[in-house]
Amino acid sequence: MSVIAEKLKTHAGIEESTSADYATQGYHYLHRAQAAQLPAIATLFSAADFHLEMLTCVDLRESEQTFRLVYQFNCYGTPERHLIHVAVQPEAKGASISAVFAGANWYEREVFDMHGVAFDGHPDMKRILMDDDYIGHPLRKDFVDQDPQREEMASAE
Amino acid sequence: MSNNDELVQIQDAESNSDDALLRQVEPLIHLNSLENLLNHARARSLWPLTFGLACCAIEMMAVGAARFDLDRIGAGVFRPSARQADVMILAGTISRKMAEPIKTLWDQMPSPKWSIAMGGCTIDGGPFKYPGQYAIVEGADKIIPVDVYVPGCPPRPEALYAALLKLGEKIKAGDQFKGA
Repeated sequence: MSVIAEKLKTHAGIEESTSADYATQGYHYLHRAQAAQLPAIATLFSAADFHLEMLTCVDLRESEQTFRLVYQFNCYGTPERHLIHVAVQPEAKGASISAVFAGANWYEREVFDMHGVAFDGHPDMKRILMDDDYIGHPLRKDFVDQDPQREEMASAE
Repeated sequence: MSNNDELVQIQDAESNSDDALLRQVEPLIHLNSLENLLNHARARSLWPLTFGLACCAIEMMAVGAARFDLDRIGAGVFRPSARQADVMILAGTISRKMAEPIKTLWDQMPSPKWSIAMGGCTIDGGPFKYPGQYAIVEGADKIIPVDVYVPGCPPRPEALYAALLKLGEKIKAGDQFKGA
């Protein structure tokens, strides 16, 4: 087990930590973490020379009544992919890691735009792909386009 | 005299005065020949606006480059400013966020101006059109008037070439968008 994996296992913000078979799962470690602890965890990864590969969100409100933020960290050299799952209550916010990994800035805006999960501490929390005055979050499972411009922009169905 | 007759008389007087007014403002010399000459010039000196929206823009670049060479029909002068351009080639998918800047650019272009919708996306949304899609504008004509449509995904460079020639014919025939 690597140094960072040892550190994470005992980290206060990590609720559960398991290792996985990379060949079948595509990642080496899976951690479940609390949203508020993410900046501290990201700092650990940053110090160990890891980079943020991906940040996205899954709408699990039907099965688990939460959104799940998915963070993926990796490093060059010997690959070591860490997957971090964070459960966020429907009205709650995530914690921004854009101060640690600048690349997270747009990922977090994308999650906010598409799923409506906002991030505390983000310097510029606004939509990124849709118009600023767009209504709704398209990747939510219960999404119905209610944008007033929809009629103008789309052909009759 | 009944009220109806009176009304008819008033209407007649009005239409007569319209005719009189028309006669006053009608030009004594018709400038059609000059206009035709200008249109011939316009048809062979189209200045497109430099911008591409998606993959069709790659084909547009090919048309502009040496192998196909838009300069042969005078349309190779891609202008970096909307104020200097007179044809807008919409090359690629129009996302809903991009719709507003495109409309602004179109409004900034001085008349007379024309536009070409290049590729399936700008015709009706193309491969990205499905019930409930939230991301794109289903056809360029939802936001600006379009003169020539070029089908294809993407169209071959020859197709855009043909479109510019077609637009030239349209301009020579005196057909132009006279809006703001």
